[in-house]
Amino acid sequence: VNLALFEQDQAAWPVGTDPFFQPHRAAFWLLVALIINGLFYTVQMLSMGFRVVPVTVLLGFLVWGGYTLAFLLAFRTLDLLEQHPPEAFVLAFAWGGLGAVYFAAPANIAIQSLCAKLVSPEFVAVWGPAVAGPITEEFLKLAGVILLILVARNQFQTYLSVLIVGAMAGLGFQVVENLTYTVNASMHFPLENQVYPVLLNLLMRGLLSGLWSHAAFTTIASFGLAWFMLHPERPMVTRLACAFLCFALAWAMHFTWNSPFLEDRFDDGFAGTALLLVVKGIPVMVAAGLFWRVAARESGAYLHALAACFVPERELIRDDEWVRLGAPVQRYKVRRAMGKAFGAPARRLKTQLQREQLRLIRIAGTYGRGPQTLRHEIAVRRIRAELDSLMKMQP
Amino acid sequence: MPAIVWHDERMLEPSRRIPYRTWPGALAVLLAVAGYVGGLTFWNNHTPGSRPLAEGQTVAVGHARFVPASGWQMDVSRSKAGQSLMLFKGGHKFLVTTDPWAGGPDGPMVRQQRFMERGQGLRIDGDVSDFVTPWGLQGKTFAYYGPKLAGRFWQVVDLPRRSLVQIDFYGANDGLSDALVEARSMLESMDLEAPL
Repeated sequence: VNLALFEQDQAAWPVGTDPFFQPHRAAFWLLVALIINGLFYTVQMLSMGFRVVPVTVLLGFLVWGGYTLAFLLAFRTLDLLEQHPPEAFVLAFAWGGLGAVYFAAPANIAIQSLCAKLVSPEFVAVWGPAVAGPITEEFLKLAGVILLILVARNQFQTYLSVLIVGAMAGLGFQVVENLTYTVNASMHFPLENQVYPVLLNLLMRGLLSGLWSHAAFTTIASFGLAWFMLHPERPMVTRLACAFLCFALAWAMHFTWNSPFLEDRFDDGFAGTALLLVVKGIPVMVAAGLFWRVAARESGAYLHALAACFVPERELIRDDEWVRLGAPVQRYKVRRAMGKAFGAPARRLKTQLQREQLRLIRIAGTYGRGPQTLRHEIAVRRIRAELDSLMKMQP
Repeated sequence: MPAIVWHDERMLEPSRRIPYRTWPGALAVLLAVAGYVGGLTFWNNHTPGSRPLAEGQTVAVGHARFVPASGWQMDVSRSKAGQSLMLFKGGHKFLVTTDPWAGGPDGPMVRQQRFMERGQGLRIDGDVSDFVTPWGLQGKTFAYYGPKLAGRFWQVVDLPRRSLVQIDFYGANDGLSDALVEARSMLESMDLEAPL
């Protein structure tokens, strides 16, 4: 019945999903306008930094650019970038790094200033970052995710599709914030050296704090948003409660991270500080990991259902491949095992095969089987034939 | 682990590109962001941040302590406990900052001058000179000026404590020389013996 729906489509509206370029939608222009506004602010800020500490700014761009690429590579390895077209990730990253950062700066300053005035400067020195950062930054990052969903809401069919956009917005915020901190630290660095501040910030903010920072917080907050959006059958109170609870969890984790909690248990040296960051970060990592896991399983169930309906041919998706559709880590392990057994070309082919299968299922699920999926069907068959012949050639 | 069943029974219906309005949602997001940031900024701007200082009472920041001149008040929102203390009187500011010293006696001074010249568009007036206070505090100082303000910067390096103290006095040209006299008196009352 459903296949017939695709084949003999008589409905008023075309089948398909909306692209993220939506010049007729207010949400798109608001998102773009706020990103451009943030871009001017960031360029102005960094240009001042460039005049004072040019080496730091250039090296900072290089280091934090590489850091971003490492995250993107990890996302790509787990096939998370297959969830959306690239422009979705560009918009999410730009919102986090430019739009959200622009608004976060004055709001954080105002909260810390109010705390100093209404409580005391001593209170701000200890609790200021914990009070100001989480509420402001989690709210602003999530605002961008909401705008992106408004732009093309039918692109978001699974939890995973929302989580990856949230993670990308968080990553953008994290990277631009780290670059800003690096440049500011260099401008006030006690030594006439522009390289040390970059290395210090990369070590402390990038390597020792990077995995349990903004990308993880926004992932958690985005899960509530995804649940709210994808469960219209539930009572509104339940949906709002879920969204609020996830936001509260992200806030609480960010608050704990920024607070002086446990600081007195570790010494001020490098080893003590590093240990403190790891101890405070692991719960965030575990929580974010659990949300990713739930989302991956849900996405797997979605892909299984689509594949069963639209791609039943076993030569296109074999049973073992079907089972692993919702398990990105297992797919990665299979690729690695393939590489060990048959070499790098086999691993590359297996990766291509897995991605083509995902694309085939998604496009078939959106438009039905037909000319639009033919390219991917051919690609799957071709890659499988190449892979099989490569495996046969090995002893 | 129980198998997950896809929760949305409508999934196998085709996804359709149905037009919908986004302006109410976009407006709500814009109002929420503007209300949050604007509201906080408004509240902060309308909350007084000055704290009167008792006449003759010593104030401390890090190792540094001094006696504020008469009429100077503390700007609590621009002071960081243990790190910096901002005093103000009219349009003139007196900022004391303490940091750990990391080496190179001239390093922080060079960085500060470059920050002022290239970052803030100020000009250094004359050369850096040495200074000594009646309490034996010694360091380097220079004057600077810009289109709307002028000031003087002092820096003290306390090698035994590996501590750096920077004092920045600046403000509008109107009444600057009187305020500078008071700033000098605060500097001359300064020592680095404050208990941490």
